[in-house]
Amino acid sequence: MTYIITEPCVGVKDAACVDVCPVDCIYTTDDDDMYFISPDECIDCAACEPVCPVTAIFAEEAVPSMYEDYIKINYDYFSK
Amino acid sequence: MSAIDPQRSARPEVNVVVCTDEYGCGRWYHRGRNAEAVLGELQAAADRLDGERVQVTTAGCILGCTYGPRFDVARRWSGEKTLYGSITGEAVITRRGRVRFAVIPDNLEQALSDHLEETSVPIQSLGGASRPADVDLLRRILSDCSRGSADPGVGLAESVIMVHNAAATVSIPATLDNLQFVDGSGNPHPLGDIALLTTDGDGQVALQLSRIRQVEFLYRQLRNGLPSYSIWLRDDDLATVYRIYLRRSENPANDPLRHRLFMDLIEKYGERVTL
Repeated sequence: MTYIITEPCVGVKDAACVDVCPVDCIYTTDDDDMYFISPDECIDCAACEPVCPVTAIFAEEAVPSMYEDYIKINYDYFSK
Repeated sequence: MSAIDPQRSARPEVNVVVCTDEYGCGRWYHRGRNAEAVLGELQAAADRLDGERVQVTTAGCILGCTYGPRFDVARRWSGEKTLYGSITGEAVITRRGRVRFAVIPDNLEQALSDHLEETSVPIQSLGGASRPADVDLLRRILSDCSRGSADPGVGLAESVIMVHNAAATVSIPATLDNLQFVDGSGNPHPLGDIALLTTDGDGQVALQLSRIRQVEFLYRQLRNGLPSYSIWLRDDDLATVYRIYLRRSENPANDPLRHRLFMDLIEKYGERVTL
């Protein structure tokens, strides 16, 4: 399992998740319009989920259907 | 673009993540408190300090079990993180590498207030405003920073001094090698109440020792993996007025010695010293 960042993060990039992540597994670049969680590094602690100001982060199995595309988007980001 | 939840739109200065993993740290007690008790105290402290400045949330295992409660404090305004557990000192943790722990303090409200950018906690909470600051102790701390503990010692040397007031911050490259104490007339005196440090451009920075109430040594691992060493000096209102950040040494061979000295200073004085 991992956590997935979804559409509400797009254009917001508050980075609260980055600050609390205990294993620094949340990435982005200046060119990206959102953050991404590395599924291989995520330890499933859920620290990122409650601090997100736009409720963009969900456990993989709890991603709302309207954001399901973001599961693939997150995984694909790290398989480049 | 999504709108930010107005209920949570105030960007907290400090995020506290408390491990409540029921199969791990959370089941153990440290000084009579388990994770649930620590969480309750932190939430109450955050509310008293100002709920919008401090956000306390729970998480599963955040790594670094120290056989007792665990929580991380992320200072969003400085990018630094402090790991609290039932031990103090360095440890190596899976996936986190070498980290430094601070032991969970008895007074969690004081600990949280120390992480805020500017604190409004009055000095009374430290034991009384009428008590004079321990200038002798501050002189000893600064002298140890300057000269090191070995003989001949390597001091902390190359640094950047950041001087704050309510409206501005000034960063000044300096060295701690040329620390000097002077009296009110500017004459050198070993028991002078003013510390003078020489800046890189041969300028000087003066520090009124009697106005400093707290010294904190901060050793952190930055996101890029590099270490960060800093010394924070706070005034009567516990507002940070003076910070000393170490720069890389011009002689790389000195960096391990400076690391050792910084750790020795923490060992000798503790991470936070009330004067």
